[in-house]
Amino acid sequence: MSTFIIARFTLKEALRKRFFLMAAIVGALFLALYGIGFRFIWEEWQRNGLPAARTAQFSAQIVLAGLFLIHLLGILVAIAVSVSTISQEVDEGTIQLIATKPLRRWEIVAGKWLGLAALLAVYVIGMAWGIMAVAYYMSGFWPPQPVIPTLLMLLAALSFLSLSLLGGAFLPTVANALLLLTLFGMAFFGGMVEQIGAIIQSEAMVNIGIGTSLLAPTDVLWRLAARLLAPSQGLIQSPFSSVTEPSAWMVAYAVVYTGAALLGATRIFRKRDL
Amino acid sequence: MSIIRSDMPIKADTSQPAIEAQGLRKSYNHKLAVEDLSLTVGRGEVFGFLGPNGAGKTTSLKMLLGLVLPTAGDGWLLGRPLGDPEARRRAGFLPEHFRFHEWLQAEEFLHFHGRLYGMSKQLRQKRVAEALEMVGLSHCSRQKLSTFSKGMLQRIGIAQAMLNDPPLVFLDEPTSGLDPLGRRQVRDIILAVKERGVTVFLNSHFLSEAERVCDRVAIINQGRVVRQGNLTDLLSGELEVDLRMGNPTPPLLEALGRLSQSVKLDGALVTVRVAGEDAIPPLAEAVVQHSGQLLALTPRRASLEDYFVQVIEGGA
Repeated sequence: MSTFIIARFTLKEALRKRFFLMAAIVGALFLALYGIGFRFIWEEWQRNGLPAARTAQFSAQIVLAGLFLIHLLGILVAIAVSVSTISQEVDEGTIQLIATKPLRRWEIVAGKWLGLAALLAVYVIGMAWGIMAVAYYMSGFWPPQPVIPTLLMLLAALSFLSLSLLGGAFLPTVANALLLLTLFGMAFFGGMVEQIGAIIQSEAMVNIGIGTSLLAPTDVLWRLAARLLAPSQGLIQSPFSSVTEPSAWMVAYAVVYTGAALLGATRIFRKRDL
Repeated sequence: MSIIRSDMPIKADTSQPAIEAQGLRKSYNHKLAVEDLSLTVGRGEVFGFLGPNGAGKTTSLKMLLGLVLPTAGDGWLLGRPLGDPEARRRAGFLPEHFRFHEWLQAEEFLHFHGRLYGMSKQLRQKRVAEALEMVGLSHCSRQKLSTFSKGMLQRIGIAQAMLNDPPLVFLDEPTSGLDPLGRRQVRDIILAVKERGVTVFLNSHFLSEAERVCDRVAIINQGRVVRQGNLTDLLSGELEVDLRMGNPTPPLLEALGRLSQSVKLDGALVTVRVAGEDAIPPLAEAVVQHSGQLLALTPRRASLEDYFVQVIEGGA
C-alpha cells in the first residue's frame, strides 16, 4: 500500500515539475523532424525510381535508426530522472519525514521504482510508437512485430533505473551518475565491438561484447528488438541492426539483472543511516 | 526496518514509558557519536534534550526514530522496539534543518503524510483541517510551500508532526532560525500540545525556551547523558549570589571560595554559587570578617542556562 503511495507521489512530482509536458513538447518536435527527414529521403527514392522491395528495406533501416535513438534516449532519461531521487532526498532531509512514517524502507525504494517505471513506460512506448506511426504514414512500413521490441527497449531503460537506485542507495549523486554513464557507454561500445567482431570474425571482440552485455545488458536487448523489428532476410547491415543472433536467454538475464539491482537497492537503503 | 531485533521484547502496554533507551551507542568508522544514551521519558511529559553542538543530540534522536541504526543498546518507543513501524504510526517528528517537498500545496503536503500514516480520506480531511487550524495556517491551505516563510514552514512541519494525533512527538530544534515572534508562536504551540497530554521530546539550543516548557530535561555531553531529572529538582537549592563590594581583596575572595561552589569576579561584582539559602548569611559574615565594604547582596535562582554551563564546563 505504502509502495503505491510513494509511486503515486513520484509520478505527481514528475507531473508538477513538468516532466511530461517537456517530454511531450520535445518528443513531438523530434517526431516532426524525424518525419520531415523521412519525407526528404522518401521523395529522393521516388525520384530515383527505387524498386518497392528496396524502399521497404531502406524504410525498415530508417525505422531502426529512429528506434535506436529512442532506445538510447530511454536509458538516458532513466538515468536523468532517477540518479538523484534517493541521494537528493537524503541530502535535503526530505526523506526523514517519509522514513519516520509507519512504512518499511524497502517500500520507499520500491515505490520510487514503480513511479519512475510508469513514467519511463509512457516515454519509451509513446516515443517508439510515435516513430513507427510516422514511418507508416510516410512509407507504409510497419514492423512485423512491434510490441515485444518496444517492451525490450523498456526493459533496457528499467535495468538502468534499477541500477541507478542501487547506486543512489549508497553513492552521492555525481558518483552515481558517473558510474551509470560509464556503464551506459561500455554497453553501447561493447555492442559495437561485438558487431564488428562478428563481421571480421574476431572471437576476442565478440567475447568483449558478451562481457559488456553481462555488465549492462542494454545493447543485447536492443539487438533482440532490432531482429524482431526488421528481420535480417534481405536487409542491408547497418549500425542499428544486428549481425549476430542474440540469445533469447539474455532477456531472462536482463529481467533477473533488473530485479537483483532493485533488490540490492532496497537492502542497502534498509541499513542506511539517514 | 532493520533495527527491529527479534530478541527484543515488546512492551506494548500504556503503563510503559513513552521513551526508554538503554545504553544506545553509535559510532561512525570508529568515531564515537553517541557513547551511552540511557534515559526514560514518561507519558505526557515535555522532555528537554539539551547539549552543546556536536554532543550527539540529533544522532540520539535519529536512533530513537529509527533513522540511524544503533551500534549497540536497546530502546523502546511507546513500549515497542526502536524501528517498529507501529511505534512510528503513533509518533510525530519535526526534523532539524527541515526541507519539505516545496512543490506541494500545504494541504497536499499534509494529505500525503496522512496517507503514509494509513489514514482514511475522511479522517485525513478532518485531521488536516484541524492541524492547519492548530498552527494558524488554515488560510494558506492552497498555498505552495515554496512561497512559505521559514516560520510558516516550521508551523506546517509541526502540523505534519501532529497530524496523526500522536501520543508522542519529537521536535528537533523547532525554533532554530526563527525570529522572536516565530519562536513565541512555536512555543505556544508546544504548550498547547502539552495541554493535550502529548509527550514531547524537545531537542533545543534555546535553554530559556526549554526552561519554560519542559517538565524534565537530560543534558548530553560528548555522547553521554550526564544529567537527567525533573527541572525543578535540578534547579532547586542552587543560588547565585551577587555581592557588590568596594574592595574585593584576594583573602576575601579565597574565603568566599571556601563557602561556595564557584566564585566569579567582574570588577567590583563578585558572583558566587551556593547550594541554598542557608549559605547566604556566612557570605555576609565573611565579608565583614575580612573588612570588606558590602554595598549590595542579591541572591537569585540559577537559571537552566547557568546550570547547563556549570554541568558542561564542569565536565560532569
